[in-house]
Amino acid sequence: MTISIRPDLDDLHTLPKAHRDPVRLLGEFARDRIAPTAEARDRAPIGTVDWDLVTEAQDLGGLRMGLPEGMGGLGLGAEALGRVLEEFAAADPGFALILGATGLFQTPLVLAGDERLAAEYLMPFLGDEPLLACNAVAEELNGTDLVLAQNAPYATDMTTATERGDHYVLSGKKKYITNAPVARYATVMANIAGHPGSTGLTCFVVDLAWDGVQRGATHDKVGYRTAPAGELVFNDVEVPKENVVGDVLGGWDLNTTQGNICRVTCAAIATGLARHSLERALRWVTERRQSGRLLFEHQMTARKIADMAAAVESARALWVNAARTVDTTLPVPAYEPAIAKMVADRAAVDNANTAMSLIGAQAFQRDDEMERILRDSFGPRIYEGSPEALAMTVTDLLCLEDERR
Amino acid sequence: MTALALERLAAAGSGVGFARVERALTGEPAYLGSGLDGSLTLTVRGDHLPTRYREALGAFRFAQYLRLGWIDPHLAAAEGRYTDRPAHDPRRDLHTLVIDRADGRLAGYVGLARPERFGLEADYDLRVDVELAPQTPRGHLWEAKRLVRRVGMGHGQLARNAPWWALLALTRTVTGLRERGELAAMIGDGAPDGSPAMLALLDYDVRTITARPRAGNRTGLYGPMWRQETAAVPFHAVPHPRQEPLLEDLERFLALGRTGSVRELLRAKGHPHA
Repeated sequence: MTISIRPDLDDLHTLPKAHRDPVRLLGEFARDRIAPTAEARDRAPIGTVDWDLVTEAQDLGGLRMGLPEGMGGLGLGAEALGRVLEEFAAADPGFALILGATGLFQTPLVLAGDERLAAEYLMPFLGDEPLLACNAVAEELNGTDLVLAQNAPYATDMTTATERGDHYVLSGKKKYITNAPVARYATVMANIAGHPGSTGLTCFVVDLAWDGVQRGATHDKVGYRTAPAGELVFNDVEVPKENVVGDVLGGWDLNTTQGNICRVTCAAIATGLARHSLERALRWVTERRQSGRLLFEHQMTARKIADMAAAVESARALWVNAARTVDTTLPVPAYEPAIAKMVADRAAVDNANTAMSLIGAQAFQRDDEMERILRDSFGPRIYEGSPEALAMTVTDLLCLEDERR
Repeated sequence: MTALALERLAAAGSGVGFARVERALTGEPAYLGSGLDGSLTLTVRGDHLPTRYREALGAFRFAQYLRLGWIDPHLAAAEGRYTDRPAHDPRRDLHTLVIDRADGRLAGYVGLARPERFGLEADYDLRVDVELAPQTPRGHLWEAKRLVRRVGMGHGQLARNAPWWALLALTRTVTGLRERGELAAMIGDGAPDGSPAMLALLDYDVRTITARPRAGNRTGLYGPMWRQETAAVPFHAVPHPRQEPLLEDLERFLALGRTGSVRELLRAKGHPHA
């Protein structure tokens, strides 16, 4: 019997019944429709979006995965979402990000439970017109200072929200924002004027068609090229006070909760990347012969393949465990998602490295898919907490536990 | 809620796309028609529509009533209510959607329901099986609600046709229900020169009654609608046996994108109420 490194999409018994069909359909869509066309999207001019495939994903619910079922969304929990995004990442992680970034826009609104904001800004995602959105947090000078709450006082030149009558006026620039060049809406984390660093972080919903919003440069990224990313510039944009998501000064609570949830799906994406490297390597080592034997029959190669498989399986086990914890625990935990992402991010890079060494000169060709996988493998470490930031989170939690003992 | 916020909300509710709804249905539509005016009209049972479309219909209905000034926005904000979603089981609903195929947005809508408690009984001091339809089993009465065209549509053929497509589909559906023995009459309410008059034009036998609206209507969420000068009246409507030729004429007129008005068409064809 041959073990498959790919999850069986017909065996989703750990998921709620209502989630199994959507997860299976989206997973099959990723394997059958996204994977074969990934290379073409990777080579397309920067900022190009494959709207036909986005529309197909929309029809399957790909742009409303996290919206409540009662509202018409798929209502997927962290485990179901992770299953879907692992499949998309194994096919084309940039496409996973297009869907994920739109979900990141929606998550603060779902968490805040504001009926009016939901009616205005989540309702459009129920229709047939594909609509993308983004979550604008990172800035040129502020990365980890917007990930770790303890760093908040050190954020520099933050995008600022100044109260003026029944509006806040937003000024500043966001950078490295997935979907920014094509998004219709954004949740924007801005600092209330007068508060140092990012200690006054507040979340706003912004319609990117409003006066004063400017799309800045589109980034020419090394990887994840399917997902357009760029800058958003806010030139005194008037945002109505009713567009505050949650509470004024409540941005860190939202940011932290969303970050913990998102790390699970980010770990699933990284696992998908690690798996893709292994799949590519398996095709190579089961076909290529050296010294009269298939490569996998050589001990050193066998060890590498085994290590890659262990990396995928352990990354998956960790993100699934973290997902189940997130799905069943309030407040949303920080430890399990951080560990899962740390391990999976490492697995993505290590497996790409090992696959390159196994495949050799062939993998060093631009027209071999391993070239794209290698570039993409460095992506997971960048967003939603670098390995360093995650290490700080994990260690703080462990040391706090020790102190209590 | 500011006027701008109201308009953004209404725009969101009016802008949801239904371009591919037909492919997503889980049951056969009761009516399907299309026209050179760029429309696609379909009538479908509520539970054959995926939840997201039903939610979008609730938002559309709310948005049009908001734009018509028939909803109290302050009460809506205070109660956190931003949808006009039917409260009953979706299996009891038939929704008629008139879709603009150019952009997938709704151009018109009408609902038909067989609820356990009729809207008329919630809104008026009456019992339908006593004052409006005596000797008719309640289970054979269907209530028409929310005949609306998308407010703010530009002038054009589809803007003119949308309410007629909705009524045509409604009537075809009503006729089908009647033929299967599931409907004896359609009930509802409207301004005397509104839906009762339009139904009469389509050769329904229409009877209206005078009934007192419930006192609380004027201060409720739909208060502005109830405070209008022209009072709505409950009606009882039964399709007339000679209706079919008129419906064929109307369907041809709408489908072929003819110019002129529906009234002129009906007058020219010699229909008595035109």
